[in-house]
Amino acid sequence: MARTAHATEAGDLIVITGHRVGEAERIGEILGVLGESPNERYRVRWDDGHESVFRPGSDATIRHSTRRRTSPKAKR
Amino acid sequence: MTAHTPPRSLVQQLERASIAYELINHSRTTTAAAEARVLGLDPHEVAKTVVLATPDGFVRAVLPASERLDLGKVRTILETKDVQLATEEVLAGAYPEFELGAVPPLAGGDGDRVLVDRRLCENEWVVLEAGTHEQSLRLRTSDLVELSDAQLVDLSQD
Repeated sequence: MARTAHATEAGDLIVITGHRVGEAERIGEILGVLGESPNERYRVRWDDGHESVFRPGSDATIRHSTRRRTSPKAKR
Repeated sequence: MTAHTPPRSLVQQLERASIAYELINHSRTTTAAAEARVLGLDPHEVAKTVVLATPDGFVRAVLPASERLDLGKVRTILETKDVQLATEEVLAGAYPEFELGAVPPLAGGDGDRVLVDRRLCENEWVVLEAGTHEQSLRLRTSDLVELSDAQLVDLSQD
């Protein structure tokens, strides 16, 4: 999984790249972080509305929310 | 185990393997076809696991929800005519951590042999019951085969 220097937190987005031509990205909002690195799992609300516990693979990228850097109290 | 909580042994096996997976809550379903419906998936994307009793122990046969198990093919693969569907009473004793009818191909049991129908490999990902009737596990089909040390075979009726 692609990571940045920031720890993953609720409010960050997770993006799963498509594996086949024409396959859309899956995007979800991280609602919570379960476990600790390197076995972190995320409770995610996906763009189709369903929620799941997700352990990402190498095809996942975390996009950190800008809200927490500008207004930490705004995060969930 | 409570509803929406997968068996610990299953989660531990997934964590040890460090693979990508997803646990999806859904309304209670008692068949793989119904599980596919509530998840909005095609039945061939969802696997069902049938536990078989044989002289050499339990065998878990995994095939698409859209297919029917061919016991004749299983008997040929296992080279024995003594293959029967495990009864609910037997399942309850052998897999106490799983709900009846929701035994997954992974975890539990005691080194059960696993047979996976080749048709499942047509999809990169597969969804199966996570030991409960209210939660599904989604993982790569290749990871399922590797983790369960499965034999890829033809299990479905023609």
